[in-house]
Amino acid sequence: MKQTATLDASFWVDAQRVGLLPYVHHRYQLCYASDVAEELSPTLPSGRDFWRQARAGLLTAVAVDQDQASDLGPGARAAINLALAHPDWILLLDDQKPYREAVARGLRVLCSPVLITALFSEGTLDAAQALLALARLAALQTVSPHLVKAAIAHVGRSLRQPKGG
Amino acid sequence: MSTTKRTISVRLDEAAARRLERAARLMKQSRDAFLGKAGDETARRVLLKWAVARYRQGERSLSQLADETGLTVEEIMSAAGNGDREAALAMFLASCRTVAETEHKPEFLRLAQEAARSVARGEPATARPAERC
Repeated sequence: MKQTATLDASFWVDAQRVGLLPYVHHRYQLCYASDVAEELSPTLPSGRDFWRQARAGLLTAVAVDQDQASDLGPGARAAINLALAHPDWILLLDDQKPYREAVARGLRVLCSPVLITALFSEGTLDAAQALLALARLAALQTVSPHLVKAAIAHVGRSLRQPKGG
Repeated sequence: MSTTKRTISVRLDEAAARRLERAARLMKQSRDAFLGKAGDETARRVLLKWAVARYRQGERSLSQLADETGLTVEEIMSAAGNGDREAALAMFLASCRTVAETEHKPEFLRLAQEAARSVARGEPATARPAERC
């Protein structure tokens, strides 16, 4: 049984561009708030993919009942509110400001560099695939370089040397 | 998305008005359409630059910036990524080199260099998770 996760637009755009979405779907049942969907335009590639997958039933819209989060913009606030209402869910966020708020509120939050290291640690990605995803993420320049560096260090430390190497 | 249009009057001096008429004719557009498109393109450029600067400073979230500017989160993220891609990949490789040296794992640097070359060539992301039994 897959774990349920919700996300904001920043995570979706990064994951789509880096090619992580198949892994995200493999790992999580994805739910989203309508304010997050409204931030993803069907006229742009990541947004188009979001709406295509929503129509295909791969993403589930969930209503946000309570507003407990700070003013981080409609989408980020809705994603945090959804996670607050479902404490067993994972919150997928790449934007630093809402990420900090989510951590401060004790939510189970993941950003794309950490997801890449998790996929590598569990053996879903090999080192070459993990480094390719991290290189793509670095080139996008939308995630904190510190987080990318930390992920590189994790993959480097965990990499097993080839026999005889 | 709303398709209602607002009317905004613009006062131009004689020379600017002539340039506008000439340019609109060249583009086979009405003056209104030409001016509307040019104004929106310039406004987007200005707002994107402003939003990316605010985002980089960590002042506001992407969601806030999209709300304030009327741009989409994806547009702002794309503009943020229009910076120096080569420098970003160089930084990625520098980090990998440091890790490879401190961990005594030359293979790690070789894999990182392959990854950076693949990204620089613009190869698409095609990987899929393996099915598990």
